[in-house]
Amino acid sequence: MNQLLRLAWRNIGRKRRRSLIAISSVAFALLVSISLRSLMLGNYDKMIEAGTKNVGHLQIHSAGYWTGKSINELMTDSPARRQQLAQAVGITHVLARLQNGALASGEKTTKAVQVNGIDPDIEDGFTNLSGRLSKGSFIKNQSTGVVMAEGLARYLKLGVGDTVVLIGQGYQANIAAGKYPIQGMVRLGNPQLNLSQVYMPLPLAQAFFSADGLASAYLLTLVDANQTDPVKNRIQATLGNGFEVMTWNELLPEIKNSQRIDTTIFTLLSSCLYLIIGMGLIGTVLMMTLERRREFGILQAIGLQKSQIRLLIILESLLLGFVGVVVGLALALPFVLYMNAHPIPLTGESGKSFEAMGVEPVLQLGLKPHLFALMGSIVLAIMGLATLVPMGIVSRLKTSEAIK
Amino acid sequence: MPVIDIQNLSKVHAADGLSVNAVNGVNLQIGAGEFTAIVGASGSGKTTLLNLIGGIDTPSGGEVLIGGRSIGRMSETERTAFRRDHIGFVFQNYNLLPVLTALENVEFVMELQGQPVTDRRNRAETLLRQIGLGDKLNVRPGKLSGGQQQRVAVARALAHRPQFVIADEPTANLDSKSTADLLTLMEQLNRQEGITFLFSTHDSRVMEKARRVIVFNDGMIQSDTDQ
Repeated sequence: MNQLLRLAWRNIGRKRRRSLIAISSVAFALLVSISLRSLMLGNYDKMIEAGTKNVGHLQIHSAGYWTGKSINELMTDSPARRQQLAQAVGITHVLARLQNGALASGEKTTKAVQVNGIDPDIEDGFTNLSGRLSKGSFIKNQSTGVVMAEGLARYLKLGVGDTVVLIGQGYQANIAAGKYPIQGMVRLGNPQLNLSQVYMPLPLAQAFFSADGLASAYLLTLVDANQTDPVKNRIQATLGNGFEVMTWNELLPEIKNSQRIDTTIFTLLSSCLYLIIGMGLIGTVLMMTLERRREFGILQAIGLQKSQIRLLIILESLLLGFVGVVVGLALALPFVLYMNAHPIPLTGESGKSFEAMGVEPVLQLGLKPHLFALMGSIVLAIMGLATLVPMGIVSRLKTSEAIK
Repeated sequence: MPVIDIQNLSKVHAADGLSVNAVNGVNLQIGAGEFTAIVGASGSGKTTLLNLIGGIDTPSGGEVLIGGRSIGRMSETERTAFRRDHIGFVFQNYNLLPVLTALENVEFVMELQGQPVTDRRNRAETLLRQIGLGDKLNVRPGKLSGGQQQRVAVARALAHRPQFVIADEPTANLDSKSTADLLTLMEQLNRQEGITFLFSTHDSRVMEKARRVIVFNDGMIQSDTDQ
């Protein structure tokens, strides 16, 4: 084996220019595919981060609530239950929310809105809603006023200090109606949310909806965002069938769909890239075999078995691929590290569309070690496949004809 | 018992619907320590005969017995291993491995056999010094002259102490001085170490050195003379 490995290594250096071209193409393919995928995964991370800031990693509702989001499908909220959940393994935050639709009226206009009853202190620690405050002050637990999205306030022609009238359906057919002073305004990135959100302390929302001691959802955040499924299963088992526990994947299917589409596009693109590079490599390995038919014949004549010649071709191909992979990774790693530490800020329409989704407007490459291993393995597998035709040629080689 | 015993050997080449009897009912014995030349015109079938004797090709009929074993009845894997262990080859175009040094080329077959590093290195160095290339041990074939490369090829053929050496037109690409040097070397090795040489040629200078000359024509032995 050492003999063949030495021979294979030296054979790679035999046609230096050709080997350099093959190594460069492998390195280039790796650099492009790793960078592209890192960019996609970096963006997913940002989207997931932004998405989970709104919905948490997990949500608990009364069973069946999520389908209809009916005010009548609320669950009992108590500090003891929140405490119990907060103490479960892997949970960092537990936020109670009471959310339902209502109509909001200014002096002359009315608009459908979403009323969010929140625990301002805990919520702010998680979503940093007060960081989006554009006017006035943020609400506290004991506040009697509300914070309104800036776009909505503009639509209703209301300002800080004005009063908004809210009317809607309360719990179990009660009428929800009330007048609330506007204490502050927040600027939300998503234009739809910026035209529809009203925030008030949870006790105030419970009173408004006649839903004392009730909540529509508990939002849970986890220490490790990759552990949503096991934690979900554990909590579901503890709470029983009266509750539904949902992961952010289920709550925000659009992120998963977007991931699927991007992954499909990436798979197609990288397949084309690897196909082109692979054809080049197959050509190289084939050439390395065809131009050495006589040499292989001589090797067989003096005692090298065909199986050893086939192994020699595999070793040469894999070594060529391995050097390409090492060079590719050596180029890709610092590039990804740099682009991860120095994201490119997005301006103009692109930046606005990111902000609209509540995502930081930057292009940042994600750091995913498994990606390096995966792409390197794909290239080595291609190099292995590239030897199939040459191995067939060696298998059919007739020594007496090859040495002519 | 002869080293090589050829019995009614024939080889038919078929191409484009035509059959050519390259070797036609040959009977021949080569004894240990012989220095035999097979001579004949181009296309007379001498290379095919050497390929059949060396197990590089398989016969259409008859047998080649080496040390009593029929090489034609072996599987391809067995024949390759047999060649590695029992036969040395010298080719017309030297055919050294260009990426290995002279020393590594000579060691190559011994390394394939799994001989210990020290043994094979000593043997390769001794042989290369013996053939006057002691100062070229670590030189690759590309830096050697044709004559020097062919001497390395002879050393490679002898290194694993084969039962006999087959040389197909070994001097065809050499100038007269290199030819004379190579023949002297082969003759010397034959006389001093008793190595059996069987070579094909149509070079009269080579024929003069041979102690037995077999004239081959149309796939058959025309004459077989000791000289």
